[in-house]
Amino acid sequence: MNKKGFYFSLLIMSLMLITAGAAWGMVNSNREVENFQVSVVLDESTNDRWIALREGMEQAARDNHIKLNVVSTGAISYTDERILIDRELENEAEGIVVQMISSQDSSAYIEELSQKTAVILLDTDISPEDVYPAVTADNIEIGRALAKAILEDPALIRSNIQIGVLCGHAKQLSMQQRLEGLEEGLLAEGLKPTWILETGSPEMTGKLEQKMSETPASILVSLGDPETESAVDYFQSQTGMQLTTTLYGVGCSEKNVYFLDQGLIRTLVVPNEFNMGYQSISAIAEKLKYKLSDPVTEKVNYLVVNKENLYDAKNQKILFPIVQ
Amino acid sequence: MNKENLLDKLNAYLKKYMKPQSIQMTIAVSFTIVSVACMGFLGVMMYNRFVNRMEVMKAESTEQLLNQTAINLESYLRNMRRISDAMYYSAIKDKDLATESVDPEMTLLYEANKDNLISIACYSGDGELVAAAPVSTEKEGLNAADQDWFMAATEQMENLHFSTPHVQNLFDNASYRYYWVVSLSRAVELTENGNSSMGVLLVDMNYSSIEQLFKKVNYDTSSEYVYLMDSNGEIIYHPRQKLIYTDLYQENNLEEAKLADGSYEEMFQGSKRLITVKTVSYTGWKIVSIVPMSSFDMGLLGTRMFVIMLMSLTMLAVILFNQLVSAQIARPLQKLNNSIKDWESGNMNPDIYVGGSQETEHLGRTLRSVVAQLRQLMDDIVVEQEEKRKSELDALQSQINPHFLYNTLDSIVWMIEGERYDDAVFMITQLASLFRVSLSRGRTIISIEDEIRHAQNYMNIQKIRYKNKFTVTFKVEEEVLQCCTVKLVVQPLLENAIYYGTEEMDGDGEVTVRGYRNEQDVYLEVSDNGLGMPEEIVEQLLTENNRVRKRGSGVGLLNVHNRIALRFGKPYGLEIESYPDEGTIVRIHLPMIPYTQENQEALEKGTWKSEKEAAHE
Amino acid sequence: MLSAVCLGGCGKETEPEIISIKIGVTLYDQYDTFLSGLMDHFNEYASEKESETGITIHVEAYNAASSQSAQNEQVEDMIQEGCNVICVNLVDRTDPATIIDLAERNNIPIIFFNRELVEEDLERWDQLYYVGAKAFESGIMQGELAVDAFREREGMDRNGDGILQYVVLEGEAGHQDAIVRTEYSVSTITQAGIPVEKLGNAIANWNRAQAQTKMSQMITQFGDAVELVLANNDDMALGAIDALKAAEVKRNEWPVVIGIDGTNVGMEAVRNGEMAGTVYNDKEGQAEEMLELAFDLSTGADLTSLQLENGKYIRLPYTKITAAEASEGMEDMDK
Repeated sequence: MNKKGFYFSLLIMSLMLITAGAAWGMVNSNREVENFQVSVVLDESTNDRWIALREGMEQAARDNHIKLNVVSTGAISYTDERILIDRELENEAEGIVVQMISSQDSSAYIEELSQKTAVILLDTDISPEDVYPAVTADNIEIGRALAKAILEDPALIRSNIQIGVLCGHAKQLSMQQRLEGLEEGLLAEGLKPTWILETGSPEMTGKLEQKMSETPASILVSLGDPETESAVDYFQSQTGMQLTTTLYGVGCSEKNVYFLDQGLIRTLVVPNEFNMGYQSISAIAEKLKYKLSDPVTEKVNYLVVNKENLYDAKNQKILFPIVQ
Repeated sequence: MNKENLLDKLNAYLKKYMKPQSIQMTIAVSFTIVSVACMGFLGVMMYNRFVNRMEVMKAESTEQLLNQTAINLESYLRNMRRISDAMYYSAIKDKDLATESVDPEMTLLYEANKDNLISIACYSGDGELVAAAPVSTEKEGLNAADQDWFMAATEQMENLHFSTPHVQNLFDNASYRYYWVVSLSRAVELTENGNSSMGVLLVDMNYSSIEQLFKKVNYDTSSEYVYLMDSNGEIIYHPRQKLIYTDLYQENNLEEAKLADGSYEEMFQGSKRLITVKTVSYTGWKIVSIVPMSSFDMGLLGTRMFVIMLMSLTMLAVILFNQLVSAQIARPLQKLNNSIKDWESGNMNPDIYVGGSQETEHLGRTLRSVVAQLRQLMDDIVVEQEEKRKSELDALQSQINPHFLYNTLDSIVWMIEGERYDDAVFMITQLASLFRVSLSRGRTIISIEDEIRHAQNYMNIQKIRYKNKFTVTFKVEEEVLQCCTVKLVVQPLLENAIYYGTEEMDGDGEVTVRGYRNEQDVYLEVSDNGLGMPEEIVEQLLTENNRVRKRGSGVGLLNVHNRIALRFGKPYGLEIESYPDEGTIVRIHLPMIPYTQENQEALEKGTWKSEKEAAHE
Repeated sequence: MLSAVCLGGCGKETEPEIISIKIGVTLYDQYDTFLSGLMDHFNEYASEKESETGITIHVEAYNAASSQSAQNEQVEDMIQEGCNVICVNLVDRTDPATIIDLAERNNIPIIFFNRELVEEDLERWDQLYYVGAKAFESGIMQGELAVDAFREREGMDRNGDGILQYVVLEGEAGHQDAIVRTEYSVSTITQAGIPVEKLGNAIANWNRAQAQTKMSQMITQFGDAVELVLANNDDMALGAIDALKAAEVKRNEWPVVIGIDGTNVGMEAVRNGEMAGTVYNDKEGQAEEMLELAFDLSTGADLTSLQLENGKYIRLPYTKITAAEASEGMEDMDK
């Protein structure tokens, strides 16, 4: 083949290549972005307290083209949770967002899980901390905020302070950290909890009633949303009796907000669960899209709300879910 | 100056690269360049037009979408105002609240519009609840007069006021429900026991109605969206409202709130976007549509690809087609050119191509006739030259060696003086016979018989002249006598034979003339017993440039050889065998052609063809 | 760049002198007495202005006949006819969106008058203006007239209980003037220390005939208990008087009727004592201001001399009219 012929066929070949490339591009330009399937495993996932979290998750799923599956659960145990995760993996979940029921001895399990799939820890980290990516509230600060709310309460009667603490899933690092922050804050004024109740929610109300009759507390602090609800239920059951106990709690369910509005709860610390949900799904989306990315632990902020500032423009936007 | 420079450069460049190319190349390249340029221009133009059209259409459709949304929202808000109007003018205004209740009307209105409403409530001027539907249990310790919607209504009593979305904080709902509402409030005149006072009528619209309205608009999940804000830039609806509330997403609402209706381009967070603003009547709310340019580009990707594909495909087709057309035009010319090249390289009988377009065909035909004419001319010239040469050679041959004539005449004179009259007569007779054959009435072709007679005459004269220093023998077969030969071919051989073969032999010279037939050939042989010649000389004898001195009758062997070859063709002529000290044989090789009038004339004119040639034709 | 400057410069020199302007006006209802009076003055001032400036002023008036969609079409027509400025008396003051959009698209300034749209709507474009009166003043003045009447006229408190029994005849529901006039007139009376009792109220849509019907119903309902009729405009006050006449109530048993607007017929009724008073809505002033504004907008003149409130509003004050002022006014007019 002579030189001219060579250049000519080169020209023809390149034009054909361009044509083919453009045709391919044209066909593919309208193709949908691929969707990832992500499963979320939560304790009592259908509970009201997760509304904001799920709203955030759904928003992030929309933004990142993720097919989200929040596994419907009641109160689950440490072993239930692992079974659920395995089942989700079998159902071809490409990523798992999980709220670990127990933060102890979970390291090995998470390590194993991380090999198989993308994992983001939600709500609570595991110990040791900061090894696996997690999206949690700033739990120590929440504890401190509770202590601050108690100590700065103008209605606080300083004599004979008896502090009861409702701790719920004590195996969760988040609970431990909140407790740690609370104790640290109280200790600044030389106070410490009189008793600490560590029980899951179903038995909580009964245990609380028993404890209160044994050692009545003038201040009750609940460290999680279900614990706050249990405490509210306890107060509700004590109708007719003069309330001498002030309740401070952590929570975000509409029930808790309602009783804050009613004045039953003095101060409610509300973790920004919308952000928690949004960021956890965004983080897993990033991990799924860019395999090499390494999400780090993120801490979301919280609000300290009481009856007076509940309806502040800023607060109500975060507190009340817009979806009906 | 610069321009000139550039022109010079261009000129130089063109000169450098515009060397003459083949027609096909020139046609293909120029066609291709022109068509590709046209296609490219057309493609770019069309693409630009398309993009412009798309942009206009996008802007139009966005505007239409916004107008539609605004109309829907306006009609929704108008409905809400109608509810408020109906409540006020048909119930509250006519009733004395001390004796009558507005509850039935209120409940009816609520029930009729409960999809869009959360509650209807009427408050007195100091914030006390007069009536409410569907729930009327107020929260404890609440003063409605402190709330924004209440204050707005009392501040400007002639208008209706729409609030921004907020959580309703009026009624106690033990099912823990909280509602996002947009409050529509107005000042009303309440009559109680004949006393009129000012109150506030509140219609709390369900925020999700507005949300639904906008969700429909934002249904498609692309990066384009529409949001709603009030005139101060406070967001009423945004597809990512909660993200904005929690600082996870930013919107340029405060800046955009300052814009009048219309379309703008803006840079926000490093990305260019097209925004369109539309104000909703009465409320001053603004609907804003955001179209990021990147989403626009994304939408155009397919089109861009299509244009590229179309262009490259067309170019491909055009190039191939051009190649075909140019080949069609150029191939006949190329073939013609190849014929000419063939001709140039020496083929005097080229096959000139005739075909292709009319012009090329004409060219081919003309060229073919030119070649034919040229060949004819050249053939003529060759014949002419041959003839000329023949006659030249013949003329040479026919010349009587004056020396020979002188010697012979001298001998005759001497014989007469010596009164040998018989001898003299013999000599003169021989000489006359010799001359007669030599002349042969101007013919070149004679019979072998005459030729041999001529040789005998010559030898008879020479024998007398050389006083019988040699003997001569003629052994000519009878059948060859009546064959054709070129005249005067034997005599020069005899002259040579006498000269070389016998001159130095002192009377022992023997010359033999033989004539015989071998198949279709005739041979006349002159042999002597002289000194002979070495082989090198023999080889040189029949070449043109021999340096061997020619002696004898001065015409030499070569002359004889050429004459025969010219007359009868290449294979015929002389063959020489010589053996030193033994003698030399010179053989004349002739075709056997019977000596007839016909053949003689044909040979004379050069139109005679051998049987082989005749058979070939 | 250079040529642009030249063009601008040349254009300035050869700018054609304005020889005529066209003003479009659309009324919600041309049979509204106050508005027809206002329009008469408007045309009058237009011809005065014409002779004053030498610029021909064409006034195109339309009647929307209480249909907002008809009014929208009229505005479109006026724009097409090439009006330089359009004066709009809205049918539905809450629904000016179509008109504003039309005006903005065609860049024709709009002057709204008499029926005030909400500020949010007026802010939508910078070429929108409003000419009207200070609405709350009319209510206050009407209240004052009632107070004066109560104090001066013996026998007004016919049942002698010291409480003023009244009925209200209201303009269109939702009209800002109706709301404000009703609210302020009553609150002025109560603030003056006179106890009142509202017997009833009726919406008569500014209309004399409707007012007569409504008033007749109230006369049947309350008999002679009504001591004061507060009408949102003169036409309705006259309607009330028509009803009284029709019911053949004796002249001395008539309740005190007070109107607003000071239309010619209203003034006449005040002068002959049928109406206790009215509040003069300065229709001449409004017509004049509206024409000045329209003229300046059409000719591109500077608007600063008009002293616009917020750059958009012209509001004129009201005047109280009793029998004395009414006769004076009439004399003025006669002169």
